Amino acid sequence: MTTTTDSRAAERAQRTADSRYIPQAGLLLEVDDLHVEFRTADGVAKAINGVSFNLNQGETLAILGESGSGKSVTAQAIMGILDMPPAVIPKGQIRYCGQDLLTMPDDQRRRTRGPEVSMVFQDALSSLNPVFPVGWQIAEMFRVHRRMNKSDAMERAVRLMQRVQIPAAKERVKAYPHQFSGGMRQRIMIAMAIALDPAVLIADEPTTALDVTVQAQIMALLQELQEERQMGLILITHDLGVVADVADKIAVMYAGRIVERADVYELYRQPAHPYTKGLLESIPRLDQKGQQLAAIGGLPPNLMRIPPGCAFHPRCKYAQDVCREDRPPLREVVPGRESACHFAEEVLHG
Amino acid sequence: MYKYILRRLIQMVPVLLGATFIIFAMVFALPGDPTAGMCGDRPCSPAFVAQFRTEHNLNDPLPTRYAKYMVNLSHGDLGTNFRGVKVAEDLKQRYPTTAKLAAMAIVFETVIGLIAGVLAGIRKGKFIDNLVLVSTLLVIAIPVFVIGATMQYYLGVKWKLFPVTVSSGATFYELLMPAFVLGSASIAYAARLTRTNLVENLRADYLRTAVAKGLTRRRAIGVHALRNSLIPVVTYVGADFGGLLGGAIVTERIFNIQGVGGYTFTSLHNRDGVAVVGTVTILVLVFLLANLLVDLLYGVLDPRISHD
Amino acid sequence: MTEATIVVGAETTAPPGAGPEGARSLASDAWRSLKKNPIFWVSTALIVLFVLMAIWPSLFTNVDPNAAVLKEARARPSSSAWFGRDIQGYDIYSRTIYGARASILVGVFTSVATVIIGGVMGVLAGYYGGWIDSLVSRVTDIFFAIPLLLGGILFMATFPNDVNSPYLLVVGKVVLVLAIFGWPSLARLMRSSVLQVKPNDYVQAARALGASPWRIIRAHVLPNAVAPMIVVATINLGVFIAVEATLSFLGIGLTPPAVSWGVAISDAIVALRTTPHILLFPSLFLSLTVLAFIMLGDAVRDAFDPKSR
Repeated sequence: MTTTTDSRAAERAQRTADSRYIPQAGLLLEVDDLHVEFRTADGVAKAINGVSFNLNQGETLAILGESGSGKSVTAQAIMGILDMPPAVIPKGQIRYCGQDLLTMPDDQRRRTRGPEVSMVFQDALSSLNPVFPVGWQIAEMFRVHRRMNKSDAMERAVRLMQRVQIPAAKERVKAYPHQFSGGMRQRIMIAMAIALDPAVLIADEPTTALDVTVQAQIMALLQELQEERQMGLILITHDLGVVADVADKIAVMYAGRIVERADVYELYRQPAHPYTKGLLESIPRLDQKGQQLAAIGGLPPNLMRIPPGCAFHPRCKYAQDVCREDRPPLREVVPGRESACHFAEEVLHG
Repeated sequence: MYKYILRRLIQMVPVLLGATFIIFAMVFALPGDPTAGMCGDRPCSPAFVAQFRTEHNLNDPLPTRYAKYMVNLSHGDLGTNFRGVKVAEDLKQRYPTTAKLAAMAIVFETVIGLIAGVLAGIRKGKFIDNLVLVSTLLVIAIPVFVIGATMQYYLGVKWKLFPVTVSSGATFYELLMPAFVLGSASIAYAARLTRTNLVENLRADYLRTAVAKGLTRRRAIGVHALRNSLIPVVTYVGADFGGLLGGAIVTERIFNIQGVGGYTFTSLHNRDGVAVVGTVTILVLVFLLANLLVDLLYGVLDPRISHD
Repeated sequence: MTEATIVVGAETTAPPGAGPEGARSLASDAWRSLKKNPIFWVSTALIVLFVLMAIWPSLFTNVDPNAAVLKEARARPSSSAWFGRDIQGYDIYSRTIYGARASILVGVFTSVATVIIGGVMGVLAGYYGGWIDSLVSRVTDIFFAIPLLLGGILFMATFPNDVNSPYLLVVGKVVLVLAIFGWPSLARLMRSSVLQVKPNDYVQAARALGASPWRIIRAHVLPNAVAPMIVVATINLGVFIAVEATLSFLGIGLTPPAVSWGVAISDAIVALRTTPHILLFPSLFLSLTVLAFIMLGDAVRDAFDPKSR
């Protein structure tokens, strides 16, 4: 971390932090024992059941999981865009530069969206407003948060579009979302998200809706921007392959809990949780040609009826009686490696 | 764009011809002698009848008469009614009144309809939502002439809040109640349509983006969701224009308004075919043009629609 | 009157197990959510009530609607005449019951006629495309260009009734003109439904297998395209009833001595300043009928629309 980024973090901390709390230098986001439930007529779905993690400046954290694992809900909770109701946050804190976003007054929280924490969504076509030109939608960030006039804001929008490598940005600034290709639309989403130079960028499955070749370009762009601006980047995905090159740390989620957390290289080399192991074995690998791919058997749990003990035990080949009764906490297995499994050591070394 | 307008105008020609022919055929199938009652109590002299029939091409077969009528129409000549007054003159006097009435009804429709629809949409399931849903349903279900007559009686006659009838001057104030009555069912439909669309758009992905951009709720709904919800409402209001023109006949009768609707009805009563066809032809033309305008507006409001 | 039961029955008796058991079809899903919707039951009950009223008015009253008691004219509601008496001294309750027939007849027959005309035109245009589509669409445009009420007024004024016109002839004329000017919206709707269904694999497969167009339309296109039209036709039924009343109000629909809600309302409006209660009951019944059909259509539409759930 360079001195310039340190001073930026300090400046941010000064700007937004609670005076009683002096954040550790570079620490942007702390999620602490977060719980989210969806209370519907059919019952209560426990989407997130105690998730904690930190995000530092210039760091990329990948959150990995199947659909229903709670990864997107985590992102939406940080962003404050959950529909409440039906969503309820009964417990937990989300601290940005030391200040709890969840207890912040609505208007103050709103002001953090965009300049401090920002988000890129999965499907850019439906996530951009179909009836406004893309330049207008980017410029809206400057007009609303910076009270800039129309022409200045538009100029900034063009520059951002150039920055995310949209060809002929000047001409296309007045075009509408449907007039762009999927990759270009995602670039526009990214331009909009980074417009106000946020400290934290959350990308929720940013490449899922795209072609494979375009996926790589978008990931490269995100990485480039992240390094250039020293943002904290949270990358939400169900696809291990996408994040391998980009992420520093990976948190694997299952049934609303983090089940394993590790450095990206370590995790790939030697998973410490049976679920992660299953995920890795289900990816085709060039060096293991001819072997049968092993999909994880069974289905993710119903969030209204999460199994007692370890939520993964019905699908786990390591499962013993203890797994059905005691929920294993997330614990350090070896330095820098955390796993929520009673048999983490065996998985790690076996 | 111009090409599109031109193409639409050309497409309009057969539709206008077809519609006016149906009207023409229907009206001139009017039974009875058109000269009856023109000469007081006595029957008209044969010479007068003969002259009248030639003047109005009444001896030609229907298609010939229609062709001659359309040729005249293309010169702006709507013919002379059976009292010897040019229909175009009559209409010129009456059109402003009906135009004012219809315009006011459309303003009511958009303003009240939109406000009620938005209030219901953003408070879905709450009291105001149910109030709007129930009251619009009632307005739709009660025939417009019952609403009109009842309002006229209570607001006009009994409580004297509004003028009971409309003078030939047809002032803004006099037309307020009639315009509301004329637009009442459409107000209800517009409100329900706005609500449905708004509720749908409030769930849209781009609205989540708008919130994530740090926009206020007011701006996210008022600019992003509303703009999208407006599109079908504008289309509805435009397409509804024809209904307003038909409804004007009823409304103008209730409130004794000297407009096109009243004129049509009186002419029908007097078996004055030329006047009826002239009036209705103009109404249909206005209706078709309004539809074209709505389609163009649709293209402006929704960039995904291309008119190239 | 059989049509009434068919139209109503089509909605009420949709069998829950219509789709194959296990795989829940859209129709059975829709039926499940309809069953839970009180609005559906209220509107169905009202419609059944009004249809019964139209078929056997004597079930509800044994007072002759044409028995005038002049000295009690304009009487307020009482135990002898529940809804009071009108200007002529007729029993309003009895006339309101007997008036249902005209409205229900007009509504049901017009809706059936518009479904047939609009459905055929829409299928022709949507399924065959090409010049048939152009032709049918232009014809649709022509009839669409004449607003329903305006067309109705022109037609009814052109072919006026006199006092001796038989009841059914007048009803037939109203049905005819409303059908002539009411079908275009259904044709447009049907055309777009067919266009949506046509590219589906099962239709293309049937064509590739050499099934005749008639068979494809009957077996594959219609069952999948007809629902939106039925919904709108149900709602329109209420609209037609209101238009019939409007024509009667203008004095060119049904005319006395025919007993109908429109005629009753028209008479009552004349007397509004002195005896407002005469207007209440026929208006109430008319509005309830219109309301019932609109609510039924809405409920069915919501049930078939997965987005609303």
